[in-house]
Amino acid sequence: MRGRGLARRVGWAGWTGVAVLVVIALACLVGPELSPYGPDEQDLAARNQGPGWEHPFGTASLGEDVMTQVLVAGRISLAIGFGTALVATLVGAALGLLAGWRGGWVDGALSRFAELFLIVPAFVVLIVLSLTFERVGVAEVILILAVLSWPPLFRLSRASALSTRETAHVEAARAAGAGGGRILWRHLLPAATPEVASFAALAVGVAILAESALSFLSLGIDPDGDPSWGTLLIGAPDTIEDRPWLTVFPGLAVVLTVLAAALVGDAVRAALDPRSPGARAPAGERPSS
Amino acid sequence: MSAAAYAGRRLLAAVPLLLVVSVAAYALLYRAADPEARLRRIPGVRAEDVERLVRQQGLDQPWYEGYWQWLTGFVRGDWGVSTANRGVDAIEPIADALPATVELMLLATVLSAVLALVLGVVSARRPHGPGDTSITALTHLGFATPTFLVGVLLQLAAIRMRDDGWAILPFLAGVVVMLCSLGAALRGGRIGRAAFAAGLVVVALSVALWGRLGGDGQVVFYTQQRFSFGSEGDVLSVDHLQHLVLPVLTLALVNVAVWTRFQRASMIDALRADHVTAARARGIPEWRITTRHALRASLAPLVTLVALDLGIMFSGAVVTESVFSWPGMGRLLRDSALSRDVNVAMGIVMIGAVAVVVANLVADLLYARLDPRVDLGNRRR
Amino acid sequence: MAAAIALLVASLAAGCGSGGDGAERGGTIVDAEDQAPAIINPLVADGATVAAQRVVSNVLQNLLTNDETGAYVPQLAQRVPAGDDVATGPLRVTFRLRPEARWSDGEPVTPRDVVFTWRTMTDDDNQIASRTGWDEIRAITPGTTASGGDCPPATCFTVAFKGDYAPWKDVFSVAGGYYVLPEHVLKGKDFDTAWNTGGIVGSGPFTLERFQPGVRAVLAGDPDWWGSEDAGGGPFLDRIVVNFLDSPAATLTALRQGEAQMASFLPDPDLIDRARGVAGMTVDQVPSLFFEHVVINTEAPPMDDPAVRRALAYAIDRDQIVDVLLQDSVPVLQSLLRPSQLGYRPTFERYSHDPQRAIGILEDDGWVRGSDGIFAKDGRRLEIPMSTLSGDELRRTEVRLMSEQAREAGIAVRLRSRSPDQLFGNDLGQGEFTTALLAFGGGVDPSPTALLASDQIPSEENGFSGQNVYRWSDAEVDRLLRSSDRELDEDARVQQLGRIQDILADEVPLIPLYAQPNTIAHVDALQGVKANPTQAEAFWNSGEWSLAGG
Repeated sequence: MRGRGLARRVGWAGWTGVAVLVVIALACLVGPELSPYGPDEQDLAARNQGPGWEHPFGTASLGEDVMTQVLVAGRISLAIGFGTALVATLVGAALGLLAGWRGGWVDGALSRFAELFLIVPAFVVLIVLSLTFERVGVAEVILILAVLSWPPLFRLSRASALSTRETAHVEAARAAGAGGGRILWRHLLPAATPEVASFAALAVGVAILAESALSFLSLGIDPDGDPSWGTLLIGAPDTIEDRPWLTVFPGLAVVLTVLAAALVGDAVRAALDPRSPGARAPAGERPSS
Repeated sequence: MSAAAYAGRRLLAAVPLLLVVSVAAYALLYRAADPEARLRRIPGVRAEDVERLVRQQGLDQPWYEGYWQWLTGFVRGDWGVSTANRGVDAIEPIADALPATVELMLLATVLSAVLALVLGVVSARRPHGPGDTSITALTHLGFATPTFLVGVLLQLAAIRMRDDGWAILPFLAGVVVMLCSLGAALRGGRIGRAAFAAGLVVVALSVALWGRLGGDGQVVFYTQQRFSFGSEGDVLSVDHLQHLVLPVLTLALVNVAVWTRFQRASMIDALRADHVTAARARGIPEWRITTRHALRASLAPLVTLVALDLGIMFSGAVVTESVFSWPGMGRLLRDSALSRDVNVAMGIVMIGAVAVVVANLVADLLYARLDPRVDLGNRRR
Repeated sequence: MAAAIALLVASLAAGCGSGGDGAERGGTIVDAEDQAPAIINPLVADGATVAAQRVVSNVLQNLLTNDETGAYVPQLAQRVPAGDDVATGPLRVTFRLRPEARWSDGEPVTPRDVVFTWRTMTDDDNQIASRTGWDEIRAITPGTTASGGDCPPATCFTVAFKGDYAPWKDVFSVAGGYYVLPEHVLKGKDFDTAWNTGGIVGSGPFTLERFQPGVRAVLAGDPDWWGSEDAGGGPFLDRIVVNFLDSPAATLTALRQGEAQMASFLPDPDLIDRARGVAGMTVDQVPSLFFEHVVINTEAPPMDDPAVRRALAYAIDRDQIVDVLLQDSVPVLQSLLRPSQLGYRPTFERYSHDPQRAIGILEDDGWVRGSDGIFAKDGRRLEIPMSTLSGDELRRTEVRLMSEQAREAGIAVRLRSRSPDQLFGNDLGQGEFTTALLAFGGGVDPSPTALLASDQIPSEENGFSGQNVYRWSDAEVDRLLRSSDRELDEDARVQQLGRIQDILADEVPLIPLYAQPNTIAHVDALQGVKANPTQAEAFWNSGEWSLAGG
């Protein structure tokens, strides 16, 4: 009964988002294995071809199959998107709940710390950090982007913990002798979950966008490894007129994934917090402008 | 607590934070770029030239010495000398770039705020209706497209308009008007029908004039820089407007989706409020309820967001600025960070940080004014 | 018949436009550059950028310059010194200034200005980017000839070098990146800052009207230019506006949109192709003095083995690289020197693509092909990392193509992207690379000493700044370099340079690919533009340019 209600509250938009994400993720995981081409495999006889039967997404300057490239790149981009959201959520929510729950100097210190990251404009952090690393791989990109994404999550979960702490439920539990850990786990965490989960879903998309912006600025992931969607899009200004397929397909992949993540974020909130009047997208950092 | 005292306390509390930010930023910037690499790339430079230049430019100094010099100067208002241009103070390139960035970001913020307000209110009138759904879809699309791609696509569109004319603009406007008024027209509203008809006329006219509006190499929107050579510095010229349209549009798209969602949610809240229900019961027309009763109550979140965003304004938008070669703070920061022009980069970082602190404060003050339930002394952020 | 008439009309039109009497006066052209110089003085370290050189070459001049064929031609001098004006042991060269030469403020250009330039370039307080050649000068004496005779001191002077210095012409040519400075303007000023954002007074056809860092430079035609008569009455243009944009793609968009009428491109085949496709646009290309080549670190295994280096040279199909990636727009380069330079000998012609030969060389050298098709020796796979700049799509594609070609010969070439800071700041100097794909280049003089002399190998002594990044030394080459730099007899110098190139082809410390093309795209209406192979660059003859219908 409860499950059916949840499913309904997620709504068709939410389920569409989930479906798109699952399809894209599966395609990226399985696709390259099934593809008859390698991502770097050259075929000089088939250079710069538009989409066709042999190469549904066309070919690149040395005859590489763009579809295989997009799928392989998706692994990197999705890893960055989900990795960033995960790290930022774990760090942000843990510290936020801790700060809201303990209050006092712990709260003061943690809030100050989070503020440090909030007062430096996002892309300043991006530029400086990415210049600091000798080699920027998936882990480094996740680290850089997570540094930017955790403070809003910290704020959200702290605010939630602060208000939940004062509710009658929690008072009652405390009166009944429940320990701090139990209150944190049973009351504060569940109360914060809708906001945090919804923000985390959105953060997946924001991280993928930010990664593409980093790549565009040549500050992104090391281009020698497998490409990301962002690195595939670097050449867009050069090639979009003559060989649009080089831009259209990785571009579509980004747009669809970010859209789907946003829809899921909206739906998660609506489903977990039915009182909210309408899904309310939290203000995400947009370091990618 | 009075607002002034509150503001004073907040600003004072920010000083140690700014100090920490400055140390971290300086150390990272100082180590981010290799100063010798720049020298080695000078055409025809020899080993002895590089050695001499490292000595002459003091590039062998440790970062903390540099930081101390910078800090002691900075608090006295001396921001140091630009490394890339030893003839000028670091503040000069910043002073050149700041107006360009503020203008761009301010217009983009205003545009997205207005769009978000209108779209949010329209969405909230019938949540989950066709209007709401299509607005959600479109704004999300804007949000989900990488900014540089939006910029590049707009540039392509500008090129097309230059070659084939700009009839597409009234055409699109007409289509939007028609779509928006479709529902009202079907329900039989007079205004709705009139709007629909007007849209239809505009569409028909632009189809008829296709290829005759502009075209033949007449530039409609510029794709690079802030002014053409001929109207340099003339911010009120048509030429400047033609330069502004594309980057402003690119930047505005970023915030529209998020802000629309906020406005929509708070408007839905406001429309459910008791006094609105009461007004409705008294038979006051719906548009009047929306504009008079609900709108003001719904503004607090959006106003707060816009105020917060104004803080980010001062450090520029590096991606948009580089797509459009806009001479703003974002590009200046990127270039100075890459060429280790630490004094200039630090100036931008500090301006940006102070702006964010002030904007946060302003946002809180505004929120308190707009939402009487909030008491400044107790509001925790 | 109709075609013949069209051809006739076209050639007539061209004849009128190329600076002849028919050239129209007036008009402004906008040039789009993809880089922004922080300061506009290209002689000091922070301004030594191609963009600054391009702007300033409209304003400042030198005694000589180089024309579209790369040949030295006189600019402020009456002629390129030769015969009695050049004496050796040690080298003395007599220049005769054109008596009509004037600075844009009307003051005459005198030998004192050249003396002042020499002092400025060698002043230890000045952060001069490069002093190559200037520090070889012992004295500059007005009123004396090379043979010790007298000549008018207002226009004639002799430069005495410390020894015999064969590349002397580059010191006094715009193509060397140097310019004569006005003493009466600069005397007593700090050269490191005096010309950073303007104030430049020169003797060229244009004056620098305005420089806005990061935005644009505005050059105004000087109606009283002293050289007007030689340029057929120029400068014809009212203004040249140089817009500094953010990327090569931005310059193309500006061209496409008509926001710029001219741009010069790096060798980016996508952009050049698109520029060709723009209606009313002419694309002019000439192989430049910058040469693209595979830099081999001869100290890093497996490249310390000459056999491996030779095998790699045979394994790479250089024709295919040029054909596929550069649309055959430039020829394959067959030496370290460029064809337009003195003494060019195409010694690398022997390395035509021959994977069988590469395999044979490796097998003779004791390499055995493994199951993955890649050779190995003593348990080490024949894997060659090739470094290149991370943002450089063309080079990255070149490396990937080479990797595919080399695989056929059992060699695994692996792409390694490095940031400019990493590559130029660390890897090259410290020898932390195996091979790299890079372009070097510079002056017109063929002297390869800076690249090949053993004392130029980066080391403690030279602060790891030496340019012999091949880390290759050869006693005979060292000797030949020393003598050829002092050899003022051209035939003898050609012989010595030829021998050096022979040894290079035997030892293969580098594999030349092609001379990077200098590319200028400009609207058809802009006439008189001639792409220049040297660092004299796009604007070398801007005094002759005119805008038809402008």
